[in-house]
Amino acid sequence: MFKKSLVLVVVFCLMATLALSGCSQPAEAPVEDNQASEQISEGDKKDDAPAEKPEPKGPSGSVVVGSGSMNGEFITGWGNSSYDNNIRKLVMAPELLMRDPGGKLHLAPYLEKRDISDDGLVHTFTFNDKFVNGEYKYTDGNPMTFDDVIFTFDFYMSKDLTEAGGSSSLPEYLASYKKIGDNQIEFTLKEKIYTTDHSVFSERYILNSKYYLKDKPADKSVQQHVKDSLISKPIGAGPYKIVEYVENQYVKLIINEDYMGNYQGSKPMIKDLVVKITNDETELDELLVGDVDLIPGEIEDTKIDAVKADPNHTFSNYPRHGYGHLTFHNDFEAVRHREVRQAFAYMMDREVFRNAFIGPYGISTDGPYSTNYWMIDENWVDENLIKYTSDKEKVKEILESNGWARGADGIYAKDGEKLEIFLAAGLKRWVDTLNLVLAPDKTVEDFGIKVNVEQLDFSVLLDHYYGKNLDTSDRKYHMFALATSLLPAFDGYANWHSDKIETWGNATSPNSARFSNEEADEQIMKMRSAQDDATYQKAYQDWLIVMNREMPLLPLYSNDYHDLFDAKIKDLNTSPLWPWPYAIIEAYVD
Amino acid sequence: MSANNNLYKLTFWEKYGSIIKYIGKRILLIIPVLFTISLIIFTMVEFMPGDPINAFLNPEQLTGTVEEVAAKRAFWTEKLGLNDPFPVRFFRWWGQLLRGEFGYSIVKFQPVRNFIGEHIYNSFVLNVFAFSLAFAIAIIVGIKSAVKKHSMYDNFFSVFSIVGISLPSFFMAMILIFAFAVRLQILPFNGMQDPLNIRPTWTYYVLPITVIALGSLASLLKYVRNAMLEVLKQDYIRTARSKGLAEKVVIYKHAFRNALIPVITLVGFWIPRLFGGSILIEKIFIWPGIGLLMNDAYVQKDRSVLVIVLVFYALLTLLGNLFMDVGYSLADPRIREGGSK
Repeated sequence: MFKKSLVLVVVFCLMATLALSGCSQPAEAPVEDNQASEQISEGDKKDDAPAEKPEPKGPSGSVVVGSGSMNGEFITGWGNSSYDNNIRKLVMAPELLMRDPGGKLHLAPYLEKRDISDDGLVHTFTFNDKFVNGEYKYTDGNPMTFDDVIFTFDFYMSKDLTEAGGSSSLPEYLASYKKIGDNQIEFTLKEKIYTTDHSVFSERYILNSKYYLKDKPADKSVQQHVKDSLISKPIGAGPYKIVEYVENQYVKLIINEDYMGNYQGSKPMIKDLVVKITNDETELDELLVGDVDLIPGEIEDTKIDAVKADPNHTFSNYPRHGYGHLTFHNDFEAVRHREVRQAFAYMMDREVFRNAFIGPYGISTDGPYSTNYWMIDENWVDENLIKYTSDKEKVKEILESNGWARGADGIYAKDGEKLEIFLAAGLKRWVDTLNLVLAPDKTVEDFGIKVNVEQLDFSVLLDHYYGKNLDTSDRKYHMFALATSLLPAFDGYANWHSDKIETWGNATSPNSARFSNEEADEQIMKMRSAQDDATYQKAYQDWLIVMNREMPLLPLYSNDYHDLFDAKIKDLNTSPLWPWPYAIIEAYVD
Repeated sequence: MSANNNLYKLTFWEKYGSIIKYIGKRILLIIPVLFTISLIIFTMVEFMPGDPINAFLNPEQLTGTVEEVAAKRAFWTEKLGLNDPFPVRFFRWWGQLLRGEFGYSIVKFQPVRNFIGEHIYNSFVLNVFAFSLAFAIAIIVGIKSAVKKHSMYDNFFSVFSIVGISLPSFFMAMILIFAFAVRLQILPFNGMQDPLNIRPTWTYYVLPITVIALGSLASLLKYVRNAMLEVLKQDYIRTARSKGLAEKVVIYKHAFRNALIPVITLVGFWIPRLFGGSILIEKIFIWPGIGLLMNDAYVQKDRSVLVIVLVFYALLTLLGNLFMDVGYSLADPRIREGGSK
């Protein structure tokens, strides 16, 4: 009897599961366009035919955006979560210089002009009459004032920010600032650097001083007060304002009717916006059934293909502005030799790695660059950079022409140094995929290089990577598997100049690849001091040629990001430097 | 003067003295045990690999000259008290704990006590509904299963128990999400409330409560059934039946009440568990309870949060054991007599 019931229950469970599964959509349905892994810089749309854009009658509709976990630090200066940063972009008052989809900067709508002194150090911003008359308002009704601009820069220049757990790079660049006359503010820089505009004037959202100072206790700095009480409740003058923030759940926003407009005066057309935390396991289903309308930055091929197969959803894709990579410690043992790094690059089959690690949606670059930078394009890359593809003969040629010879164990050696490389990775997925490509037996037999891939806790990996808190005798790893996102404007000084290398074991080295090369240093300084785009571009290209040759870092993949969304959202044109919080301003709901 | 007034009245102490002494002794024992556990937890978290400053510093802090970067690290090392030796940090942590301070979260940039209460409450709300539901069903079904031993009904729920105990909760969660959120679309996937106020808030509770209740129900059902079967074998049940009492009276007046004793003991054990969340369930349903907090703290290396949550779990386990022992001692006075010797 018992057995009979057991069989009945099991059969019932199986039938129920099958009945439910039978109605499901195929997870890996074949799609028409699943080869879209080539670089598409302007974002590719599912429908090639341009949709006829109806004239929206005014702000309407709602959009729910899926997001990773937010920390609730919605005021710049604390934390580095990109999910928090999305909210800042939506609610904070426009900065002095605003970005466009190509990454170029424009004067904010409240500015009339900017004058720059001949030496490039003094920047004088002239504010327009509407600003002077207090016609631009924050969402609490307070007018934007000159005091707010000064307050903002005071806020980020003060040491009180560090005391309150925050940080800002502003003091590195800015010497002084003051109001001049009735409608100008003058900024004096410490030195003229090509990327100053990005470092000093972009994404420095103007703070509503009256709001932040209103209930400040006398015994606290304003930074401490903001951090303790207001960090999740910013009042700005951005395209949206926060209606409700429920920690670990969502941020609900509503359109700011008084928004002054973005760099070209556009104002949002979607009335309600919800940024809701989703999880990896269910986000695709949430999108397909309509609980979520937009999932930005998707990289998993199964999810991307499922959306491509669904007629009610569409996507926008663009190459990642950054890469996953293997960084050499360029001053350590055998990998301090250029030929060894080059040999490694010729040994590593990056295509196999990329396909196993991220699937079909991605590319691999041949140096520390992003194809999104305006300074280079595909033609230039093809004509000027070495292409590193797995090639046994090339490895042999490079190593042997530089005096390396195979020993009895089959591993190349020279002057008592053996090509046995230790590679540290933080995640098991990294380790497994690297071992797939760099299996020690295979690499020794085929290439004469032995690679040991080891998994470390991520914080231990960082200790080794930065060279901190460890004795010199603990130094072991030649390479590190990591991922990097690049800034909109490139300044290689902090991360690649030899001035930024500290003795291993004593302090954190900002130049974490510990790469030193006079030619590269020279080009970095040329870029920094460039007075025009052409000089900067030339220096960048020359620097890239050096980096491609010296190979201090081997990029493995740059994802092809897909923003997946409901087809009811029209004109959502995201790009690498124009993420959804910017692009949503131009979008509307059909 | 009535006959009742002549009866000797037990004083409060005579009546409850032994149990109070027993409970007092057990509570006193909790203190050194908790101290030892906290020392072990603190030590393990302390010696977790990796530099906490690396995990904490905003990359923007790493700008500037090498000397400036070193100064920033030194500032935060000092600020977080990481320069002090381990014993100093441990006893300072206990001092803070006794003052009701639980340390500072380096991820949320605020004292742990500011937010831990809300997470405990969120887990409690979920668990109190789930466990109540599980207990209610387990008692009703368990009794009927025992009475109808080896019937189709009993066999069905016996198999249900085995399947329920064997199925991992995350798997059950995914099946229910697929059925009710993806296919039928009558319940939300996750979260605690609808930002657009379309779905009623209670719908957000249904799936997580069901998953927790199903997970608990399977084992409770077995427990109740076995307890009832044990009672039904007793001589006094046979006597009651031989007296010609109706079967309902035998079952619900005699058997059921006695079978409840071990079950109520179990309830005591479950009470502290109401405050502890489940990492997997809370993660899948994005439910900001204590389990999700611990998961995030581990992932983000937020040591202060991790220590306090682990110590909290240890305290819950100790309290659970205490309640269970007290329950047993109430049911069987020989236990506390033995305990107080």
